[in-house]
Amino acid sequence: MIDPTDELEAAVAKGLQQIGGIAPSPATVHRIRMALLRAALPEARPSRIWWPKLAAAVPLAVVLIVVGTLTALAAPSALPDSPLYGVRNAREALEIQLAGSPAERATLYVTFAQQRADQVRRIAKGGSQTVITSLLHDITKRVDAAKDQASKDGAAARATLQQSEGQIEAELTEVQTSETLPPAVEQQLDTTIQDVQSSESTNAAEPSPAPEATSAPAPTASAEGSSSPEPTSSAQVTSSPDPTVANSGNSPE
Amino acid sequence: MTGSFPDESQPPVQYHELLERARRRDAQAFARLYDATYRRVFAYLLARLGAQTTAEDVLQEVYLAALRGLDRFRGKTEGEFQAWIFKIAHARVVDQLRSQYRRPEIHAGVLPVSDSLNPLDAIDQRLGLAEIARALSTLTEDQRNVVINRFVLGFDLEETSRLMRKNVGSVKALQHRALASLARVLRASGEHND
Repeated sequence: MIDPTDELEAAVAKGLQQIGGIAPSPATVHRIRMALLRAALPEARPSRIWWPKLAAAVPLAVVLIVVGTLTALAAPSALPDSPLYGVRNAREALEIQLAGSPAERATLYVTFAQQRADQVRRIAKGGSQTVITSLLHDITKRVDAAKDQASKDGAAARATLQQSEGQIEAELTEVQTSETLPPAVEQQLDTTIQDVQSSESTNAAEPSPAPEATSAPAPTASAEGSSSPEPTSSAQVTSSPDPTVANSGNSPE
Repeated sequence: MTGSFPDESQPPVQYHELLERARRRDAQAFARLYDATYRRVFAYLLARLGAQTTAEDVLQEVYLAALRGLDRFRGKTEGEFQAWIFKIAHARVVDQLRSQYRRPEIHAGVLPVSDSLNPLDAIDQRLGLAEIARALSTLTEDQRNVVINRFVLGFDLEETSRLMRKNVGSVKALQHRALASLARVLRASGEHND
């Protein structure tokens, strides 16, 4: 006789085995499979799209960097007949725009003028007449702009400007004396040198307003000229073609 | 790992390769892993939850959770993957049973055995899916794991002892006590229903 408990245990074991034989419905199997594929796809999609985009972007970025670097390197020495001369002018304009004070802008203008004077000296022998003339013209414009900016600032800015203008004049004078230039170039060179000299003279004649007056230890010091604590300032006053202007700047009265 | 799921061995599944591909978000590779393992996982879920529809819903949750957690899984073999997927399945079963406990009205609607579930027709009327699942819940964890591994998933004694990290003698003893306990619970349940 079979023990009913054993019979029930056997039935339980059989029931458990039959559970193992039950499969999810085919529709469910398919539904879950599709859900998994869909769930995996959003992760896969960005990589499929992102990598080709990056692959295309990297060479583009490299090209841009190379072109940008070359442009940046080439622009400072570009001559007026070069397509990069426009880039050079634009870059200079941006630098001037970003300058923090009139003194800084004056320094930049005169630096750019100096670079062109240097170029004129280097290409004077055998260089294009048009290019040299254009450079000389641009020197004049920048020196004038530097003078305008310096006039908005103190004596220190004007002193720096004067020193730079002296260097420009020296470079251009060297060209004038050492090279035989076409008449048109010779004429433009003459004009530019005169402009630079005129600029120097004007700077010297510029009024020395508040900063100098303020820095004077006593009102009489400026009036006395030679006893001024700022020798340059005194010299300017002495050499000024317009004493009225000089006096008006230095006199406390 | 063998068991009573012959369709899983055809074609042979290269778990190492599939897992590598699946980790690189190869959806088809993960689908292959699903194809190779879902029947066994479903059997486990059905035995624990006692209702085909619920087991099917949880089956989807298990594989979606596995897909989301694949980056954290470092296993490379079939055994490691199956151990991991069963761990996820177990966690989902616990969540589901807890949820059913909190919502008895839903629980009652799910658990009664339905005659429309064709495979159940072969099971003794006293041993409906729901009753078996409920009876399994009364066992200790070791007893439950033994009977599920041995009878539901079809592992032999040696495989079960290796999976459970117990010697064969202990597995036999656990099996014996588990079946006796299940029989007792089911008999009591049948008497109560009568």
